[in-house]
Amino acid sequence: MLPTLFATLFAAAQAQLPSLTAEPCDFGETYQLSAVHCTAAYTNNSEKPMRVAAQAAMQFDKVAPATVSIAPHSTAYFELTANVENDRGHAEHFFYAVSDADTGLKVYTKASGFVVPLLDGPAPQIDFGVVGMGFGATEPAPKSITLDTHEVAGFRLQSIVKAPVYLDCKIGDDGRTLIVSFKPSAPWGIVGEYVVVSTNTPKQPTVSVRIKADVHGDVVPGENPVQFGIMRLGNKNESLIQLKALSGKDFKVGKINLERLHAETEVKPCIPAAIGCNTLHLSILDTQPLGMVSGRVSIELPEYDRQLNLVVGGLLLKKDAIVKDLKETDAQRQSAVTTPSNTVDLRMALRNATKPVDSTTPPGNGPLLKWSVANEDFVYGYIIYRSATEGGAYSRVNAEFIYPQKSETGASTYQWRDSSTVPGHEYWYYIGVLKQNGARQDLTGPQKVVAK
Amino acid sequence: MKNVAMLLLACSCASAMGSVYAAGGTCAAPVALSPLNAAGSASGNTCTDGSGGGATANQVASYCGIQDLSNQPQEVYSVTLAAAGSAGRTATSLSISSTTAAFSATMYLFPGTTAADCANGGPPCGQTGDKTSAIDLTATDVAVATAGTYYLVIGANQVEAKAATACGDYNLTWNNALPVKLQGFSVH
Repeated sequence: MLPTLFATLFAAAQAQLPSLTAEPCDFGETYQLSAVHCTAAYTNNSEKPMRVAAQAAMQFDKVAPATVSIAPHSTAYFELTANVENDRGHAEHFFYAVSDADTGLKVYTKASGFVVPLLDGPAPQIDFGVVGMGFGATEPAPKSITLDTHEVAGFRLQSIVKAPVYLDCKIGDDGRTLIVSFKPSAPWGIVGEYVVVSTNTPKQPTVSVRIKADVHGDVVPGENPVQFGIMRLGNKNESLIQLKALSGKDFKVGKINLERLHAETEVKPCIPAAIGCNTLHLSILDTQPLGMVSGRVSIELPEYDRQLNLVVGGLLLKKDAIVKDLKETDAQRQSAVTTPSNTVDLRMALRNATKPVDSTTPPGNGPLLKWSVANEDFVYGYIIYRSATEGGAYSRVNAEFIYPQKSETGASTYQWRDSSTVPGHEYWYYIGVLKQNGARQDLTGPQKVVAK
Repeated sequence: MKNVAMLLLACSCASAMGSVYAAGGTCAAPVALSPLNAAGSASGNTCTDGSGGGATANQVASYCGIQDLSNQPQEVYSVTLAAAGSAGRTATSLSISSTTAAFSATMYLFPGTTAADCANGGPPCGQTGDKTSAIDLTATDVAVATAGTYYLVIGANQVEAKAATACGDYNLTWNNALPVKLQGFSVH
């Protein structure tokens, strides 16, 4: 009786499965600027063989093989390659497959893992702001960023690996500073590119620095980026962008190219008409996919032999989509509550409670570090840094991250022993945190100890 | 706590219900919203919050042009974050949870003023997909920490929930996940 029942239930469960299902894969822990791999499984749950074609959803990712035949109730495996060049922290890269059994259905899977940035501090970036390249502008001054890491001792930049042709890039005499300047050939409009520099550490042989600028040539748009905010299908989602020549001379507008935009463009004289002034009419069409609009308009300016790049952003929703105000929703919820709820306060009190979790003391004689923390939701791991002097060059000494215990009380205690010290020598230690989003944060100040 | 994903969006000229019409650098006035500060919560059900008690509509089609979100019921919230600091924002996190089986409640955060980043390959397009923790508003390297108007789209997770029909209840909270706090440190 029971076996029959189970068999019936199993058959029913199988019948409800889509014909093609996928299992995600994990590429583990890696540093930036690398390509990582893992193997994802696609299963044919149907009674017929199927041909499956797989693709990466992100531009620089890859999947192999491109197509495969899967027998009924069998599984095929795809090698997913994710480019984590500029990822930080918890990262996910998406892939999809389409079978000949249902060509209209994309079955998604993902490769996920954690990307450790080598560098201290936030994602490195040089923001030039507005760079004048046009009529009457003085040559823009170079800007620089000093890169550092406590992951390794003696960190140095070595050479420029990749940079846009319109940037002059060099490494400063200290070996840790990248100096960047714009050439007159830079495209006009918003620029956002990466400069890749090699390092002296095998942990991460290259690092990248993002260069941002709004380059103003002779022709300057009235706004850039062009931000539509919320748009709705069926509405007139139009923006008028004035293009004005700083020199006051008339100019022609050539071909207009659109990237990631379903839009119509038209250039008309300004109203009232003025010399050296045109208006770009940009209308987002209803064929634009719903959701985020993030595209680019490239305007050719033949008399200047130059392109002007406008960045366009917005959120396109259905005509009748309701957008609720989160704060107002919360206020309504609170006014509807007749008895005060203290759930949040209790949880916070628990999280702030100092209830240390016992951890085993590591054996040995080296310096023993003990620390206790609360609120570990955002913690990916702890890092121990060591130096011979208080203000000296600190570098990481724990090869593996110390992962958070995330105890239910919200408070955790840790012990870690440094077995690589020389007895009688003085050492300084401090503890850092690597957060789930890849950001680093100092948890403690330095403390001194003489190794036994 | 279930899945959290995030996505950035430019929105300096937001109009909640009417058409958007921007001319020569000026645009319709942004909708005034209250800043998100003290702890709070909002809840709903994407199966039943739609018109006539049915499922909510599919509002967005893709996540940063990468993840296909078509066909799944979604709800959209707007939220304004004040500048971080003692006189400004005190909220440090956004979290979502659900009690519905086989529904991975997912939060897609569309913050403002970062269209250039997405269009030029910058963050957060490199930080796609689900998270197993809350969004950390204290992050210094993620644009969600900046002040501005954001849009939260609540829906299913494309990969895990087979989103075409996935819906369920959700509870959105903020300021419940606090930054890590040191309680003691010694070296012996």
